[in-house]
Amino acid sequence: MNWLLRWAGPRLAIRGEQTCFDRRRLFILPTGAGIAFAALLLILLLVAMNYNNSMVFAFTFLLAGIGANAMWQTHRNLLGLCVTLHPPAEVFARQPGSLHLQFESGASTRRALEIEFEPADAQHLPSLVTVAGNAQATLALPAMRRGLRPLPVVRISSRYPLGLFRTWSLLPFSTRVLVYPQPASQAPALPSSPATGGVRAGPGTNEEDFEGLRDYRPTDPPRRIAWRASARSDTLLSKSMHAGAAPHVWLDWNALQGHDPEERLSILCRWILDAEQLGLRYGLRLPRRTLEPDRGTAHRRECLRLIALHGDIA
Amino acid sequence: MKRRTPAIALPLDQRPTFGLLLAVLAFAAVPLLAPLPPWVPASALGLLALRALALWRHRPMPPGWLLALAGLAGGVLVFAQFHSLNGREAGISLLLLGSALKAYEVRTRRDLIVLIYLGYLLSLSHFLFNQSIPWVLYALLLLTTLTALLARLHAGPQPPSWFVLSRNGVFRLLAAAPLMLLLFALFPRIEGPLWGRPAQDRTAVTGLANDLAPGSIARLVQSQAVAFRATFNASPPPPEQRYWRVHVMNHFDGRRWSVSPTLTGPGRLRPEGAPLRYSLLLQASGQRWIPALDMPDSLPPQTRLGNGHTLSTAHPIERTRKFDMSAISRYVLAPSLSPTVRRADLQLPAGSAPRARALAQQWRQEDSAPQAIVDRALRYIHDQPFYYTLQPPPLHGDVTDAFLFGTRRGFCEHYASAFTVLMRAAGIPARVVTGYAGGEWNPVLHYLLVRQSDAHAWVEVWLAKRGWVRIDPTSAIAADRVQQGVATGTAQAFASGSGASGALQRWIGSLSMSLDSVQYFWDSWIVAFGPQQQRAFLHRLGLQADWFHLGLYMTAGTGLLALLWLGAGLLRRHRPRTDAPTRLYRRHLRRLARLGLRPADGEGALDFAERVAHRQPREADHARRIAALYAEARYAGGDKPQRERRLRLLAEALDNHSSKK
Repeated sequence: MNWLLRWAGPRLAIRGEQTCFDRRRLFILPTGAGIAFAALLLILLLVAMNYNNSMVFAFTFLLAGIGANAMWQTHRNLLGLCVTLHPPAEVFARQPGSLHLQFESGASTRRALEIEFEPADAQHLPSLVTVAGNAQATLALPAMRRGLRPLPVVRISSRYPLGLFRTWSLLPFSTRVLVYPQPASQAPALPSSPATGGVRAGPGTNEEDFEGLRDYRPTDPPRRIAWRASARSDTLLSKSMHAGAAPHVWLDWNALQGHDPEERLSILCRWILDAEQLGLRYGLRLPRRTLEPDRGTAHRRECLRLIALHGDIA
Repeated sequence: MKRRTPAIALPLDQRPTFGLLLAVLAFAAVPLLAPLPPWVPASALGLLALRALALWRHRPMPPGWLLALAGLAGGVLVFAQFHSLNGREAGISLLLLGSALKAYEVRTRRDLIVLIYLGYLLSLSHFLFNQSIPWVLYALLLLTTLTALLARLHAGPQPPSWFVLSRNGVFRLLAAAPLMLLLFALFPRIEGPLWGRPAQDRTAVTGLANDLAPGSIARLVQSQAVAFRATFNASPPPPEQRYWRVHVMNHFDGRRWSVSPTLTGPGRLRPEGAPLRYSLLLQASGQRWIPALDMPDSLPPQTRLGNGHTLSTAHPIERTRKFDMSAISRYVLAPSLSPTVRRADLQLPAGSAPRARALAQQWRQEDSAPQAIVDRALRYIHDQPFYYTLQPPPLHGDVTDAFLFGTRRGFCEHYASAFTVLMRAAGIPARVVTGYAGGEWNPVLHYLLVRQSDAHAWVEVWLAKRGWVRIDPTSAIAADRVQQGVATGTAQAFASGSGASGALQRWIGSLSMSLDSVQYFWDSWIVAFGPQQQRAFLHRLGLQADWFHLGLYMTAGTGLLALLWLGAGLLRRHRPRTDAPTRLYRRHLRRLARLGLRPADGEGALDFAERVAHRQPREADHARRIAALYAEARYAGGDKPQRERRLRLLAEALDNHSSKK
């Protein structure tokens, strides 16, 4: 853990998902360029003293004033900035995920904010944003392991305007994210449906399955949208299928003999995603839990949650 | 041509920054053309221009070994030029060439930052040669631009426009000014250098040389450069007494006068009047001598009296310096002459100036009193057709005879030289004095300005009981000449006396005098601000000037400035900036206020509009419309074009209504 967090942890703690930078949250130190600038001033001062040159004295002090003011300006570039975390909707293990941060700058424009995770990741350059009013920044999440995981600490820093100082703050969000298993890239075919004896290639669009119209839900596949009916009404409508008539599959932990547990979870994850996409009704059987066949976003999320937390990993 | 490597790996949006930075570096090199050997700034400018061309055309950079070789060659050439690498000129030359070469090695933002820092050093380096106001403004401009470039490098995405950047650069200067003034006044100044003194080479500003030959002063008279300024505690000396002695020469080789190798010493001074105290603000000359008003009495610290009662410092004067001096206008210098000195002051090269010698002998036979001979010689110059000209014809053969009996046209050095030869030939000890005569009186700031063009040469003869007596043979030609100084004298002699050009001349004269007032103020208060001036300044404020107190004041002052800054920052935060829709809406409110309608505390725009509609049905439509547009412009989110469109709608609605009325 970061030394700064150990030292200043309590006052950096964030309740909820929004925080604003007050003075207690901000740190500031000269950068390498700032130290070089100080060395430059020292050289100029020595020259001025050696030649007793008034103008070199004056301009050295002028530059010193500019540098000192830059410290305030750098600090002010973060002071009062508000950050809201939008946790990622779903994160799969070892897959690129992203984190959205919503910034609110108040009256002034905040320039060149560098946003990265702490500790810094060599592969990812910090994202640079300029915030005037509202702005959103997206941060690529580092690869995470399956389970309920704390978010890595976000570091927001700024060197604007002159790069002589760097002010920063750490955001140890208390929000935890549920990391689903990595979907297997090469998975066995979906198990067959006991009702029909085979996987239906497409969503159930047969005439006999059609039950009626209902409001469109974002998870409905486009093929399910009743375009003609939607055109007549004001809202998008989807064709609702007859639940009882649709086939269902069982995604069974025990059917995957010969794979180690993490591989099984990966394959199950892939199957859940595929089954939902195909519009199938699917049930999940784990060693200690069983979910009855169903479909829809809520069901999918519940299935993924179960396999994410499988084995009670924390 | 096939492109082998990318010209530069810099991000695309930093290319304009780099281009501008190259321009600033070139501008910083320009003032160095004068004080450095021209090849140094010229090659730096060439390198920068090539680099700019390569940047523009996306040309590849030369390989690293070539750059290293160029750097080495530059170092060797600089060493060959100055025989050193750490003097003032050599150091700046290395800095200049190094910066130009560094421009070929810019790959990342860090390189650009290094180049900007070098630019800071370069733009200040010229102050080691010249600290006058125009160059200070020039350096301020360079500094502002460099700071704006530094800010541009760190501005991230959607950087502010160049206009905003330069405006902020100016604000940065203004915000830094208080700290600068504080430290400038309070930072302890020390006398003398920390390490080696500046080398003397190439620093010689045009000034009086310590020898005199025909043409040596006429060359100076062309220069309008300021030699020194003087302020007097009492009233200034009358014009005919404004003789500032610099060199006294008593050795003549037939053509050239020089300071005698035999030490004749300053001579004893017997004052016959009260001393006149004055302070002298001397421009950097690279020389040791100090012009002293006849006759210097007490000595400023670290100075000494030399041959012929002339004043000099222990070290060359490399910056504008102030000296507190005093002069005695009525005096007897050297009441008696030792035989050695007398012999030195009668010396003439054997066989020189036979006709002049004959003339002097003839005068002596007619009346042997020295004063009579002096008067006779002055009358001779006055009566014979002697002319005063800046372009005398060349003298062939014996210089003295050719002038006295041939051309009879010359400048002060001709007259001084010939007169001294005549005196010596007549047996009167005499010597040539060079220095400055006259000067312009500044009536506003009460100081006397003496330029290089006021350089002059005159004669001193030794008379029993009276000592060395000043004789200005040039004044025998034109009586007003000595009173007004050489430059004005020549101007009068050569300018046609038409009224218009006379008025113009007067106007230009008064203008240049007021400009010089500013320059004087600058030189005496800012440029010459050294340990003594600092002490005087602090004592005038009633402050202590020792280092402990200076440190105390600086800490207190800096703390105070920091508090002011903090206070300003807090004030700014407590006054939220009104957004653009609200500013427009307030126009609407001001108009309604004239109708006696004001929103109550906490009354929203839409509620207020309903109340307006109720009270003033004529305003109903407009008020409702404005309120709706305002609410939409202020509270509906959306991207920038949407917000701008709404703002425009609100502004148009307001304008339409007011134009209808």
